Amino acid sequence: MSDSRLIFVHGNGAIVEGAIQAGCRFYAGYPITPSSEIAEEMSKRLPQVGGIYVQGEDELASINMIVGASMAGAKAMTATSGPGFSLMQEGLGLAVATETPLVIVNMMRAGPSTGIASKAWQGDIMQSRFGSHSDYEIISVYPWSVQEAFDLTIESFNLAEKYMTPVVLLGDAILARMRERLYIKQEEIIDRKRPSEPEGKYMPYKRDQSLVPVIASFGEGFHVLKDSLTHNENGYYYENPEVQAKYVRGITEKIKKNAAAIEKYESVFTEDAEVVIVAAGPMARVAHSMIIDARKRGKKWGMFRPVTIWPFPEEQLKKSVQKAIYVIVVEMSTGKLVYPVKWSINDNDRVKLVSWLSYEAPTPDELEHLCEKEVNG
Amino acid sequence: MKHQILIAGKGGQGIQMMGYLLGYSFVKYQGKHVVQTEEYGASTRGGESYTELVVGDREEDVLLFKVQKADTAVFMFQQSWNSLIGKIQNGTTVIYDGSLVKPDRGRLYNIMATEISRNELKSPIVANMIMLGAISAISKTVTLGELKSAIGEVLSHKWEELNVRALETGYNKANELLGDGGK
Repeated sequence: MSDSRLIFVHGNGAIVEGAIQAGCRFYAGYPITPSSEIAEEMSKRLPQVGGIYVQGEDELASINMIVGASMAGAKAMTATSGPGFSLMQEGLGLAVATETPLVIVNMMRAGPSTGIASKAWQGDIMQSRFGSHSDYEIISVYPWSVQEAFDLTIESFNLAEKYMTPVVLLGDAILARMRERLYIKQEEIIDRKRPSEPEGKYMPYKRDQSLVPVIASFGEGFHVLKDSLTHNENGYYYENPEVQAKYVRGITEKIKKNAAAIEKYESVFTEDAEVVIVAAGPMARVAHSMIIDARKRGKKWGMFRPVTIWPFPEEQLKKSVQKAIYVIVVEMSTGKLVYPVKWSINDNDRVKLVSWLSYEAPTPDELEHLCEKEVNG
Repeated sequence: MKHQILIAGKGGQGIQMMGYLLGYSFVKYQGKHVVQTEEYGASTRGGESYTELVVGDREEDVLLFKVQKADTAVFMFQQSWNSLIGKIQNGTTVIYDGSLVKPDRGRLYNIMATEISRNELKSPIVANMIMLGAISAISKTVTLGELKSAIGEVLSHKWEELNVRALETGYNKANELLGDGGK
């Protein structure tokens, strides 16, 4: 008898299982490669657990549907890829402004525009943080394996509910379609808080020391106004410089000031490393493998992998590169991840970029050769 | 122990299903770490299609999700051989369909899977199961029983009898070949 909790599944399938366990009961999306299996599997899994699956007419409708569903109390998600993620930026901004928890999966593919549907790229690192207009902060995570895709999907829902924010779960075409073993563990599930004050006294956007407001869902018996315009603690539009400042501080500081609790990273062989490679997602597996080989040949190389891309684990990176002469960022783009790395390190002349512009992942030898060129000039 | 497997052919031959059944067996019955990737063109039939599996006892063994040098390879299409030869070494076990591919590197095992499928099993679509049986006999990484269980759990029961018969046929043909010292 084989263990039913041990399955062989791709990254998209692992995200679906994670979402179901996290309590996701509403999905709206417009299928797009390489995320389509998430929609396909959700359409099967959600009815089994009493949830609702809607195939939207497009990405705009889909994101707005999940915003609405979450406002009504459901844990909700969508999945897309670059072209669809661009269309969802307006709705993402609405979720930020109304402090509505959501999970948006963006399986990155080669671009810009429609690019190549089934091939991986890492071009949306900045878009996941700055894609919607004006002032906001976001949480974004990027798993490197099928097991981590499952774990971080649950984590994404937990973070969304805890901080009342949309969370962007980044992946790429490699992660989406690679199959690995997945062990379905029972994880801790966090649900959004419910108001403790009675209707009349209750103010939905008032913050306590946690900096996160307790916002009642529609239908729970409270008057809750959801406004995309600047609003005060009662949720009413109010044109006043102090209210605007307080509103923007509120939605950004709840993430900024809690960053240490949110950030996740992996640091490998960095204690004595003269060269620290920074990489994220499946690309970091190639980097990790390269470093294991390089260490055997006496090279003092290490790796830092941000697991939360936003907030970027700045302090942890600083600690990991203390002995490093070079910090080499390796990414499948012309350079996105390299920016938060440079922002984190004061003397950033030692930060180098290896820009891998092929949608086929490099071999460890190819990567080592390119990194070696940065080290030796 | 790390083992790298490459299975290549063209769309419609059931290449991806072979990879899935193998990966499923390694995970479910052997508790191994496995990473499987798929490559195929936009068209379903006729284009190049291949799958790669890296299998190991430790997570570290499967960090790399692409095969660097294959330990075991299956080829059912000449074009795939030409494009993937870089992953084949002299020591690679190469199981191939001699009516479709003429390989010139590796330890070669010719299993005429397409002909056996058509002539002995009276079905044109089980050449992949014949090759899976041959993988079991020659590479010894997975048992016949494990593959039979995987077929039972993954595929439609409607075709189970035919699939299992094809699997056993491939297994026996490969053992005959091994008895001859391999060709």
